[in-house]
Amino acid sequence: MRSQPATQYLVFMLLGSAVVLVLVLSLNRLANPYCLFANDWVPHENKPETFSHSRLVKANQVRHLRPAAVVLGSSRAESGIDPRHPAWRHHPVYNLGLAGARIYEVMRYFQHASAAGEVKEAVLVLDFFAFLEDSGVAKDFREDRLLTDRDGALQTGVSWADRISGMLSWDACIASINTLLAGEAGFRHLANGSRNTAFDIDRILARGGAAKAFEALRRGGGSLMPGTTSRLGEREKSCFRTILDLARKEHIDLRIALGPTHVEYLEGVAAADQWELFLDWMRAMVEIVEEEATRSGVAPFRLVDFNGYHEFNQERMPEKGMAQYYFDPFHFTPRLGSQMMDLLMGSPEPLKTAPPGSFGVLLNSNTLDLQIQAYREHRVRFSKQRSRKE
Amino acid sequence: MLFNSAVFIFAFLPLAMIGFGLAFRRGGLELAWAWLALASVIFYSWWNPVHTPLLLASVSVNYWLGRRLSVPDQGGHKWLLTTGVVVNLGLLGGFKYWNFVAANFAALFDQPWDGASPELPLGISFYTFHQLTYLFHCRAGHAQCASFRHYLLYVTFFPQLIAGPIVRPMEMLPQLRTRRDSAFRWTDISIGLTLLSIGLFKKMVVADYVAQWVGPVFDHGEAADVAFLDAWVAALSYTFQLYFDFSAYSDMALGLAKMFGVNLPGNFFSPYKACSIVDFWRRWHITLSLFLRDYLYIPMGGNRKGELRRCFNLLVVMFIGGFWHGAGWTFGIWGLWHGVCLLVNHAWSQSRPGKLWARLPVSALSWALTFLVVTIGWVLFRAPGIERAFSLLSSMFGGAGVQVPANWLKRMPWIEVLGIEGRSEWLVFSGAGQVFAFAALFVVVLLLPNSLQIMRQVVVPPNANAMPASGTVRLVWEPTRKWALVSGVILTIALLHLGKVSEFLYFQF
Repeated sequence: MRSQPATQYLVFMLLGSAVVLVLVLSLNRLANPYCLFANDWVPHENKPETFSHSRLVKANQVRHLRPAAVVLGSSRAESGIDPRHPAWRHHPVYNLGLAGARIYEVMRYFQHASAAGEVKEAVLVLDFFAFLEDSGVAKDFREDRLLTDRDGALQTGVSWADRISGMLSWDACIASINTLLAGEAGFRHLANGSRNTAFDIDRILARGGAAKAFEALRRGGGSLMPGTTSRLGEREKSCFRTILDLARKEHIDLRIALGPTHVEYLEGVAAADQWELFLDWMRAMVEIVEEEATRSGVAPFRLVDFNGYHEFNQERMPEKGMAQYYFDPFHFTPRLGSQMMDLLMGSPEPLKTAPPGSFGVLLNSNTLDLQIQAYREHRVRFSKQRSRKE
Repeated sequence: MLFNSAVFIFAFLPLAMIGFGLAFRRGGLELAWAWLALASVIFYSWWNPVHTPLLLASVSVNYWLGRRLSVPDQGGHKWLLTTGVVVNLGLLGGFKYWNFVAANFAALFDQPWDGASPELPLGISFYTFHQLTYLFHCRAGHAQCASFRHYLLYVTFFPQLIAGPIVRPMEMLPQLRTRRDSAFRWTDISIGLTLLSIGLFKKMVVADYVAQWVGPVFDHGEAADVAFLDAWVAALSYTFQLYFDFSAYSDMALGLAKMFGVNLPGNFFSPYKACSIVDFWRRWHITLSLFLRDYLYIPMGGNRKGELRRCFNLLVVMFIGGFWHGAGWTFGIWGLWHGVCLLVNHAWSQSRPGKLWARLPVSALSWALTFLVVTIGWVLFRAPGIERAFSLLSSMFGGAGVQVPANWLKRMPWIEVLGIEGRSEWLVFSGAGQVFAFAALFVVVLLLPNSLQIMRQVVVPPNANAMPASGTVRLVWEPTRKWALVSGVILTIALLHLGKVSEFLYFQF
């Protein structure tokens, strides 16, 4: 080819750049891997990037879907609470559970969902670890992609970083190709925000079953295992208050669950010398819920405890295959989640009559001490039984 | 500020160029150089402005010493030079080696040591050697009589300030004095942008890609758990990561300097094509090799004081060269490893079998041995400690058994007889795709010409005579539409990786 003057060289260089940019933009718009746009040019129910970019994708999906009901919490809520449960009275329901989310992120996504549409109903699954001091936020959490600021004031929610990384990045190209090629296999998230537990079950089975998953988490710990933090955070408690205030202000029917954890986890809490802190956390949750009710002059939000040493949480792991109620010590199955939903959303009578320490106890200042007493007694009994077996 | 960051590409570089052009128009070339020196200091300060006064003080003191050394009839040159060397090496030692030396002394006398290292000023290893070169040249009578703005730019010129090349005064200062009619030449910008594009592509697409297979093994908690294939994947990945990282930086430095009409020395010339370790050091970090040869090896006596002394000198130089990269025993051992290999290489090439070998068509074997030696060296270089380094080397050579994917045993049951075990969980080994990736990388580093060869018609580095011959290369850059389109495409693909910013490995040295 004939040599060109240098200026023409630069023009053609720009042209080469432009061609690539147009191709990349088209590919990413076509596949819409991070749900930046409400409509897919090529409809794809399976968005595999939801797993690795959950905070980005869920912020976008909430904006597009404008849910009337939401599930709030960490990955435990994400995998355990089903938006298709018949107890939901308002639709659409979206699962806003975020892996590893502390209460600050839960609050921010609740504010976002509330600003995106008209949320009328919410289930909040609380985690002990989410209230530990200085809990921080996930690496991929961004304030500017949400529709309110942390004080609840509306903002555009347009994150240029998200737009550029979603449309003009190599990662987005790979994500687009993954999305276009994704079939039913590797379907990790459903369109309603829930984890596709069938995928998780396959993965756990491939690694040797639930007993292996329990063992791995016992050995490896992970971010959800009790750490060395010895205090509940004041900022974290304040986030919980903000959630309650927002629900009250927006007339959202909020149901709160102290999410169930397997006794292995509770024993881990005790082994990490955090047992009393765990009980303090329960006390703090009751105190904050009742304090808000007193302030508002109405009945408190329903707060139900599913923890404890009852039969569900003592489920034995089969040598092979899956357990009924737990994937691992933290993550309960939708089967247990469904029973939680029945109690959370149904009539309050069964909760009121439930004996302390059982699955689903209505928590308030009248029942709290009895519940804690039951915890202590059941734990002693559990320890004795365990040492006898060993 | 990294060359592969958005702030550099879309803000600093355009502003530096616009300012250079405006300064040239208003006040001529001298004002333009002054602007560029100022921009370079801002570039340096972007990281941590706390260290900027140190850089400027070092530049001022060395400039003053250089001026005194350049006055021919004035006495006391020896003391001035000694002062310069002590001040520069003292500064480098204080920041980089003090804690390491103190901790080792404390350990030697079984004393506790909990001193913390001061934060290492960025690029101190490079600008120290840079300025020492200047002082040596002034002392040798190659008086440069540079103006302060030229000297400041010579030391701080942003394309080479942080990670080299180590530029000699006569390689750059005469270029600053050369008159020109315009601030920029479009040809220089085309060439510079092309080199920048190639460099960005190498760094952001290739080096950062293979980097994912390095950390999980080198930084793995249980060194003894690293399997045979994991160890090899990590060692090869680091070998390629370092290659593409350093090669990328060298290309970008050349390209950025060229955009301002300055030719920097070449620093990298297809080192993995080397068929001997001597040849490797003519191709890898060329300006550092030349610095160590001219200012350490030759002053120590080089090869003029007998064979034994030559061996000693070589080992000492390589040991120091290793430590220049970092205050850790692994770097020193890496340097010694290369020193020993250089001695073996010299001895072999002078022996009768070696001379016979040189006549045989066995370059593939020589290459394989050289590559193996270099790869072993990089394991020592990258490992967080000596124990880990030897543990990984042991895994690579079967010390912890030889493990392969379990399905390989099903396909080839006979290999079990050799003691090979099946394994299903790997840290980084991922099978055929990865093997293909390595094969492609070998093709690139062994069969494709390097950037200097591709650009040889338009880029002549000032140290061209110290570099290996270019040979016959068919792929030669020309300012054609085809090259322009390809450059535009690779530049854009590289820029698409901007979301993931990673540092150049040589910045830490």
